[in-house]
Amino acid sequence: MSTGLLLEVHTATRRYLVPQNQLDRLTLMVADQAPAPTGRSTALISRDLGPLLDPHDLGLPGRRHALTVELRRRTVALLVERAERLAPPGAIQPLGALLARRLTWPWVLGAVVIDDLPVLVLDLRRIAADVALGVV
Amino acid sequence: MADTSQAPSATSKPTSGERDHLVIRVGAELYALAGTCVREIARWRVPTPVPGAPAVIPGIISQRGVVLPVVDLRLALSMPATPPERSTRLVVVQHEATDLVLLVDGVLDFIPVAVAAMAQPPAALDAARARLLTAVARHDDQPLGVLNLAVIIAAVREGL
Repeated sequence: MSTGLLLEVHTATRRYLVPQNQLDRLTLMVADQAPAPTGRSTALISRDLGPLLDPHDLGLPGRRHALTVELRRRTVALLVERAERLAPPGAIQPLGALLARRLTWPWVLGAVVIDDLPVLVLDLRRIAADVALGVV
Repeated sequence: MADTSQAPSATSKPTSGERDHLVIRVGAELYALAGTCVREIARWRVPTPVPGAPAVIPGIISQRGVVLPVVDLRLALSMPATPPERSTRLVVVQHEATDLVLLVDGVLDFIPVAVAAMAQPPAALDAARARLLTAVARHDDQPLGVLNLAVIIAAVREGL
């Protein structure tokens, strides 16, 4: 599976990879301050990404990056502690049917092995869509 | 048994009426995995949790660069989860096209088990646990549950 460049993002507890081509904007912001309007007439929804992915993640105040995904009727800003660097598109390994079929949310495209540790590659647009629909 | 990152070789060769099995410990109980399905044994390391995964799959690991799901055998056998200890091991197994890692409390030995010594799981055994067993035998005067990997995989798929 190839998704182009991957952006490494950190929540309070974990790191993830996000396909750059799923991201419309990456902005630096202050906690509790919503990202600037995009000029589009869509409503903006902001959510902490960490607690969505990890119930032990209580979020962190302070500097954050907003990963903004523009959908048809909504714009969703998923907030992370920091976005660090663009990683070259490594080989994304699927999770396998045994695990993929058991996931409550189909939010993971697979995993890339970095320093012998699997790092999850998130399907950011799917997460944003579920946030926009209010199902999470 | 000395720790190894490879599947240990059998301490004695099985005869035609015997099958190699890896003896593992889950809680205080001993279980056996068919030697033909065991690929590797590794020390425990923290699996990467996957959002929305069931408790029985605490995460994924990279074993020699390959991403594999970890199945907690304690939870599969309806035992409570416990923190890892020095003896905790990850057993890489394969059944047909499915590769996975079993989280166990310890690995004891690789032994031949006589087919004739295997019996049906006793009727009094908890049904959920008995379902995961092919047979029962004995090892060093202790009961030994012979695990059915195909059924374990099916049970995890079905929502264990």
